[in-house]
Amino acid sequence: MSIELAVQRLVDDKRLIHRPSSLVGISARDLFVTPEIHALAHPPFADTELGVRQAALAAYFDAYCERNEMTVSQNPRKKPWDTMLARVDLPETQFWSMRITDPEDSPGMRVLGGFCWTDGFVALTFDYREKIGTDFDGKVNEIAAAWNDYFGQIGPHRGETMDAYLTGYYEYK
Amino acid sequence: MRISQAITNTNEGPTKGDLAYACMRNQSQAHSLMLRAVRDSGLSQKELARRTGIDEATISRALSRPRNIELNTLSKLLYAASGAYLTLALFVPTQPAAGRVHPAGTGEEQSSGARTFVCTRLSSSVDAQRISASTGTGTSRVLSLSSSNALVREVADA
Repeated sequence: MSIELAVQRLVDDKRLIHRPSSLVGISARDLFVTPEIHALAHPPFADTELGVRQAALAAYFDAYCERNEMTVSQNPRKKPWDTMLARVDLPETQFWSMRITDPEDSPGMRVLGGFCWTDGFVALTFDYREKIGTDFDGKVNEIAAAWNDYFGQIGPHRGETMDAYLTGYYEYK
Repeated sequence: MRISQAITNTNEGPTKGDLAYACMRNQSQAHSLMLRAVRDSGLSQKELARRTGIDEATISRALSRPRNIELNTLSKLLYAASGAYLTLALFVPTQPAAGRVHPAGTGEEQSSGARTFVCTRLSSSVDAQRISASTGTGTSRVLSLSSSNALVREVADA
């Protein structure tokens, strides 16, 4: 089975949601999220600090879906702390981390997943950064298990260069 | 009822979360414009610093991710990188883009259906493209939206 068909089936089964931009409803890039992640990231937002953090998540997702330029790094061990999208260690696993570092006075959030095609991302796990602590290996294991649960033996989309994953990016090397 | 009241979740005005969403979205748009201009210019951050008088550390911070950049800093970087000026426009949604639709003033819910947007690139030669988008969970793709400096307007007729 192709990954395209697998994604379609997951959407049809409502295990994944094709999330467009919250504001303008477009998908210049495709973003597929779990229902749990979707519930966190759309308006209206609460009048609380948590509401502000969830607004940051929604704004990040909107930027992705509207094909805003993103800063990326393929080296998980050498990247600016506020890089927007980065490979997860181990690189051969082909998982990536959407790194939401807003609001500035918060620890931020991490959404892990993999690409299903160029400009198509499947987001499967979410954590507030303070809950991850230093358990990075645990997060890699978690996303690997989640991907296996959703896609079985079908691995994430991969490519030789960043162009294979994303258009409209600024890469830190 | 003011349009803004249709998209906020209280009658007392926007919440902290709503205001944060507005700010972060606008920061993201500005950041994307700037990142694209700098990348396409091929100029190094050092050269940009020379041309703008802005120190490299500030330029590096500005480029790394969307943040509350000063308008003057944005203006200098855009102009130095691409000779461009900003054209700002308002986008006021009449109803939430995703999920259920609440017409202003009625409190009623309508089922989401196909909606049509006109996308206009903000440039000296206006280039309007017609796209249709579904607010549901389908996998239909937008036909084209290749730049973030675009004004997307919803139109009543498909």
